[in-house]
Amino acid sequence: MIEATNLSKKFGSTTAVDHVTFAVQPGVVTGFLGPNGAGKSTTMRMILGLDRPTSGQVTVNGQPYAKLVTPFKEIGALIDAKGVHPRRSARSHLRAMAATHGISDRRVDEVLELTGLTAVAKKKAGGYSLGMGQRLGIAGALLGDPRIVMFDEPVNGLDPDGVLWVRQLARRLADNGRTVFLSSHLMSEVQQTADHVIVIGRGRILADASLHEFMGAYARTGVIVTSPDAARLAELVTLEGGLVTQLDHRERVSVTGLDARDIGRIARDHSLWLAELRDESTSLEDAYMRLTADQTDYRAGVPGRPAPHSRRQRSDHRIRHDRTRAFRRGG
Amino acid sequence: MTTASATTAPAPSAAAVEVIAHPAGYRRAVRSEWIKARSLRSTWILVAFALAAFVGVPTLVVANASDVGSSSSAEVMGVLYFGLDFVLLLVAVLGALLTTSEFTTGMARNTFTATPGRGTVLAAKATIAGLFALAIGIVGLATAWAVNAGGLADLGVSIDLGDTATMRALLVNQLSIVVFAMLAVALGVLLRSSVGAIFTIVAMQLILPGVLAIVPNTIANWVGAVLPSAAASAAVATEPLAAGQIGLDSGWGLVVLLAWAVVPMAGALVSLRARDI
Ligand SMILES: Nc1ncnc2c1ncn2[C@@H]1O[C@H](COP(=O)(O)OP(=O)(O)OP(=O)(O)O)[C@@H](O)[C@H]1O
Ligand SMILES: [Mg+2]
Repeated sequence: MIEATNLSKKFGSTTAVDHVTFAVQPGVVTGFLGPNGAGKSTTMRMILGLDRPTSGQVTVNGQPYAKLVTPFKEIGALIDAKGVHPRRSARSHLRAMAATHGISDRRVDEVLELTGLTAVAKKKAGGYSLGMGQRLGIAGALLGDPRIVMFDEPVNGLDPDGVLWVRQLARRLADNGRTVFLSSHLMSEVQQTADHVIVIGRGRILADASLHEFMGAYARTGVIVTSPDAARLAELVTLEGGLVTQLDHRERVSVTGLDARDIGRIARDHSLWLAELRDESTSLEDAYMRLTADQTDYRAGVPGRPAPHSRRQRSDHRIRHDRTRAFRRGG
Repeated sequence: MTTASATTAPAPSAAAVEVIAHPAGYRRAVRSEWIKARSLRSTWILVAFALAAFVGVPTLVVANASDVGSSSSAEVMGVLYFGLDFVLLLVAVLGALLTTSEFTTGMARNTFTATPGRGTVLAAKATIAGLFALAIGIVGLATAWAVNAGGLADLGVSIDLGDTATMRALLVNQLSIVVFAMLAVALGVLLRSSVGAIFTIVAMQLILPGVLAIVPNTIANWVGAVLPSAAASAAVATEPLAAGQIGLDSGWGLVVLLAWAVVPMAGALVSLRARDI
């Protein structure tokens, strides 16, 4: 369990983390979400006692990090995949880490095996790909078989196999009763792994809820309709209280406020031609985008003009609701 | 590359057998630092260069000397330290890299996560740097002596360890190697930059002494006199200072030399505790 109370961090005049209070619970995977520069890494560094909070406090299994007697038993962290001396081999790196806790070489070989690095264990870490660096970081985090694992952007640079592997690892650890805390700036990543999300934007907590609650609160559902009679259908749907949004094509609209059943009935009653009718849930990505729309520090935009606040409309950013569910647990 | 095999292996979870982990403290941090230091080739290259300089310079001098007149035992001991300036620089580079490389590579985050005590890590690093310095000093001197014993005998001079001045020269010079290692470790922590730390030592060793000694300014002359190498020279000096000469006597020389290890190290500890990693 990680508990932050009123935690703040300023770098000069920049407030990276602004009075955040949250708890990361055991037995579930908690996703720590936020756009670039939101303060995720800074928060994680404070958890590990690397950055000193400007105010507030944070504890790991009830203790400030500096007070932990056997830190590797309590928490294993991956915070910087490149944070390894490039001219040291993976094995030497891990042996040096293990030595701080008197952990055996056997365990070092075990985590190398676990992360698939055995074949390259004697090679210098500087030659590793980003994905291999991530694996080495994860190997280090697992050395002490800790009660908490905390990974900062763990899937960065991993291939699809690697991503799946991290998800499974997170799931198993959580099922094992451990506390799993993963950061990401991508909702799509977190929604497939996490049970709980903590969203941070500009250093403030914007949401702290189970994925289910989060979805209920922020995701909107709608119906996608493609019809050569779209214009007429839109009128009728609007009359019955539906809200119609024109999509990318003249014949394609999105309807909220009425479900697919109602729309089908209207079409039948007026002999309108339906080419496509399907439920569509806005993905969590959409919900997240909306939530953090004003919170992004580094948003692409026209220089000198405020960045657009409208949320994305393109449907390729959306994922079907049912698929989302299936992916989340199954992996 | 067989990294793909990682994913075909059963998805990992908790360790099958309970992992034994012991409290992280100074002793284990030293072991960890030792593994880190010895697993870098640069460490051994620097050690080899330092030993080569330690043995090579006096050997060249002795081999090419024809007549050294009647030298005292302490002066002959001094000949064995003709390579000391190089040794000090190389040991300083070694000590600096031990700390700066942690910050420049980001390894420091791992190091201080593994051992949360900042002072503990600093002490462990200082221990390893000190042990390397001590080993280089002992092996270097013993080898230089062994290699040149014949040559010195041919020149009709010898070293007498029973002589206080000789023993003093030996101890102070050996000590100066350790002091430079400590100074470098501390500078590495304070500056967190290899170039910065090494340049500072090079400036103190090679640039400042020449400049500060010749400028007509008493304060500058005093600064030059308390630089580490000047302090070490003062500490081994057998002749008292001339009247009005700016410099340290041998007692103060030793104190100032030690201060070059203690004061920067104290500063490093304060800085390490205050700053973010
Ligand atoms: N050492 C530092 N010195 C000064 N400013 C910093 C430092 N570390 C972080 N910041 C600033 O603090 C803010 C939060 O940064 P942080 O790295 O915690 O964000 P993040 O959520 O991890 O972002 P990303 O998704 O890009 O990794 C940013 O504005 C960043 O520029
Ligand atoms: Mg980050």
